[in-house]
Amino acid sequence: MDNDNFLGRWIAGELTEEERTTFEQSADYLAYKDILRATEKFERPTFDIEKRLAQQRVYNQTYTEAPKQKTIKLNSWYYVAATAAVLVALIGIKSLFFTSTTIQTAIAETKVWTLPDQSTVTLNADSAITYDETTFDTHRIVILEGEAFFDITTGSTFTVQTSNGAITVLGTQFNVQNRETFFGVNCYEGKVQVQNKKDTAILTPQMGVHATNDSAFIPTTLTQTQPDWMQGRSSFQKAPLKQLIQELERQYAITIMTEGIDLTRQFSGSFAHDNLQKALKICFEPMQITYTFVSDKKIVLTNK
Amino acid sequence: MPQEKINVCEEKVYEQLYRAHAEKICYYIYYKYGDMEKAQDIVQDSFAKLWVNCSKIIFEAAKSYLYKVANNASISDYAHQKVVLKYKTTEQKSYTNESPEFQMEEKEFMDKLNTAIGNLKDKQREVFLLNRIEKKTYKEIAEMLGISVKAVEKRMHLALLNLRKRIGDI
Repeated sequence: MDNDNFLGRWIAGELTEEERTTFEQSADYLAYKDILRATEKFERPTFDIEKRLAQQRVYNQTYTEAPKQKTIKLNSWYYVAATAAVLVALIGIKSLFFTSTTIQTAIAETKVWTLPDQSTVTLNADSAITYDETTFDTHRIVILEGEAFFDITTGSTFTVQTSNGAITVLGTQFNVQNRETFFGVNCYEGKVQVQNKKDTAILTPQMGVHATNDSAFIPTTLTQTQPDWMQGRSSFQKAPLKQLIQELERQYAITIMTEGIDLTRQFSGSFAHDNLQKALKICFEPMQITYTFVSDKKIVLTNK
Repeated sequence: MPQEKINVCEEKVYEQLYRAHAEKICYYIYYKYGDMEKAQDIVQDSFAKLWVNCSKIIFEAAKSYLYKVANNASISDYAHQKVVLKYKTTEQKSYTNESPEFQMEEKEFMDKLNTAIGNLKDKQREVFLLNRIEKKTYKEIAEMLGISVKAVEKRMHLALLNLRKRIGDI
């Protein structure tokens, strides 16, 4: 029975009458029957034809067959043509698929923007976000320059990319500050993961971290439920003076020049966005710095 | 009588081919390699190839073209996974004359069989499952795989023999 494909013929019903009766009386017969009966119970995974067909149509539009492996003579002309073709294709693809939207704020301006998923972004002065309108539903990615407060609806992972690191979340409220080499993230609700080149941190509400020049994260504890700048204030905790000056420039649309001042000195405190005189006084008087208006929009700082 | 040629490039014809063969090819590749996602990718690529080359392929040859492309793709892109099949469990009735022991034994048997099928050689498994689950005749399988009916019979025989050996006595 081991040769001549006996079982194969049995399943196809090609045994002779005599072979069959002998087999049906053997002990093996029941075991084989059991195997066949049990196999019937197996289910195949589902294959949704119509859904797949719809996907196929989309796939076909962009599908290009891998070139057949043919030996062709090396001819520099081919390279020129190929390079040109690739360039054209890339530009085509870019204009087709990357329909990016950019929202930006000018100096001394804040703006609230609603993303396609109903998450809101509040942009601080001189900041910008960029995202891809067409793919945003599936990939919630926002590229941020500057500073913004995010209130995110729950859903798929939401990623904020900046030049100094990335933040991924599921649905929450947080503030991201990405100014030159300074990178600060504060979490107000939910859970936020922050990552830069050196470090990763998971933030829970009322926690914040900041880093300068891709350093390890320095943790801070928050006392408010919203960033200060959203209530018209900018606040600092042991921030370098340079950062304070830049923020003043952004919020009041002024230029500040310094003469012989150590810009690495640390500043803790806050200033309001509606009164320049008061703000300058609060910031610089305790630091023994004199501020002089050279013109309406230009200020010079000197040591006392 | 001038017979009109059926054009594969026509969307209706193409969709008809898809509805007729996509699922079958997918299961065929799945039975062979046990990776449904991979099988779906291969099907997608095969049909995309058909679409790109639709002007060069006559309608009657489309089916064998699809199988050939799918087969080539699966061979060249070989990342084997063990086939693990899902199975219907016997429905729980409120009144049952099947004792819990019987149901336990049945589950054990199904699991054993599942592993045994996964451990079959690809060639035996594809034939066995195409015949038992897809209810394909030896002749249809032979055409699909491009082998003789006799070879299909042989593989079927070996598949059963091996399953019996691996499962042992019950």
